[in-house]
Amino acid sequence: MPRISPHAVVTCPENLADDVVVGAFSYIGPKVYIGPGTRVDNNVVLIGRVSIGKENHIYPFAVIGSEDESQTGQIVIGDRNMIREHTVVLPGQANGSAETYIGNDNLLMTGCLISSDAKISDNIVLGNYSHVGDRAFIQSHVWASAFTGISPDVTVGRYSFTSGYAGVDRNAPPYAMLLGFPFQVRGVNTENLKRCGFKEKTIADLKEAFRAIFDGADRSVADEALVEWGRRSDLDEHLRYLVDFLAGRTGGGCGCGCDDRPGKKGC
Amino acid sequence: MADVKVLCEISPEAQIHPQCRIGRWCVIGPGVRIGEGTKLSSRVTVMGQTIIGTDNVIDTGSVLGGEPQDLKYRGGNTYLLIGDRNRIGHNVTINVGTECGGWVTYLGSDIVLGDACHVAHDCYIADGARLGPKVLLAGHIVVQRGAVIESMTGVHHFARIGRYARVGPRTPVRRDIPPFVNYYSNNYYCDTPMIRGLHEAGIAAAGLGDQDEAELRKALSALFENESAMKTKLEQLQRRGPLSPDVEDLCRFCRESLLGRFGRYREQFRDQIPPEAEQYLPADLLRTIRGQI
Repeated sequence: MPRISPHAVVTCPENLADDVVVGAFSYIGPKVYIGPGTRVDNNVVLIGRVSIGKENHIYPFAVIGSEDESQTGQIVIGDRNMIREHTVVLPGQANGSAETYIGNDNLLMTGCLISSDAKISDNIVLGNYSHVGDRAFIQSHVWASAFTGISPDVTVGRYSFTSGYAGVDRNAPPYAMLLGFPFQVRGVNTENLKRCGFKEKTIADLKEAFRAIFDGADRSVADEALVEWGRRSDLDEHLRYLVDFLAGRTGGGCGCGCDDRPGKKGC
Repeated sequence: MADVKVLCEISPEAQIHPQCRIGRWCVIGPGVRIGEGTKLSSRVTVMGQTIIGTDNVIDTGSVLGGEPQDLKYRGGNTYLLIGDRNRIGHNVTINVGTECGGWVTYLGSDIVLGDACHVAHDCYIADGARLGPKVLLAGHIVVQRGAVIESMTGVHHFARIGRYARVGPRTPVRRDIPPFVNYYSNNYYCDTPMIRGLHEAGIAAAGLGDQDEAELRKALSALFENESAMKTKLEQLQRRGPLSPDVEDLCRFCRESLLGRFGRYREQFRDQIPPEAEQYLPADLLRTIRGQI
């Protein structure tokens, strides 16, 4: 039996796995499914079509879902996520992909807002009061600092880092440090790459590629350099991904939900 | 008997003074101690090893003593200490300390925290500090006595805000801010925030006289008006003759900032108990923490 506080309101307790814990004054709606080991603290609202995996921790005052009848989509949350206080996750909308998706092992810090149809992959940290716009797609291992604003329909490439107050108003390249509003690429996110076990050679190659490619005005992409790097046949997996991303040959960023998640198709 | 509204979930092990007022829908965990005259508005959550002093007012939706948002935290029984007569706004979140950061998050007395502030793990906020709405303090930060941080400002890990300094609204703080200065950006889209003169309201709040103010003004212009190396400027200032205690304090602060990395003095206290612990924490708690390490 799930451990439900006597002060919580759980409409259908049979939708909760056996060892789910629900704190006081939380409300869990009838179409909410929660996997084993998930802990829902006090004053949490889970409402609408929400599916939550195992071993997540949802902290007080988080709101996942919406009572709004027009927002008919669902929310899918994977495993081992931490969704901190006052975070809001909105459900998908019928005119979008109708699904807001949060992958595995993410940390959404206090006060984040995940808008409708946004997709968040795995191992992501979103700083306090970050805002992910409608249909935005955040690839895996991204670190966003506090107050980061991610506009609707953009893709943030994998292993990127955004500084505090950064504004991601267009597709952000992978492996990059992104600073300012609107953001500028300020080099390779070496610290995160080291933590994620990248080889020294890969990091050095990425640095060389960044120096060559982000050479335009305001460190924008220099097209000639990109074409030149694209022709090279000696690129490893990560450099190839960087070049393909910048040339628009990978999924994401078009608002249709095409992405690199398993089982999902590009557009 | 504390005035407790009916719909609350309060652990029987929590120690709540009989003269407290606990509003509706509050949740209070087992390791919590609340002192005399403290008022919790409705929907306040207090968790962890949280010790709250007397006559505090805590507004709706605040979560005190939550787990740190630090991936290095391993679930230890770390502490949150809150002094007396503080005013904590709506939806404020204050986390407990971490094992590798000194075990304690500390708030002194007479502090005002605006709505939706976030005070992360291992921060020390001294008496009389004022934080505006949505101020974010990342971990391991020290806010010294009487400092003012205005709305939507984010402060980097390990930074220090000097006493009676003022940080303007929406200002990213990436390094130590010396005492008695104004730090802000005229246009935060294209202008780097910098030290812009003396914080006169801070001078008044600290009760300094005209002579002290004039000397501080001279010291600030000597230290921050030209681009030469801070170490050289400090030496030049010292050579001018005996300094007033406040200028001496300012020089010491700047010298310490040079010791840390990226202009942040506290960077050198990573993974150890910070020096502020001896200054602010009660001796028995300090002994307990040292025992746990």
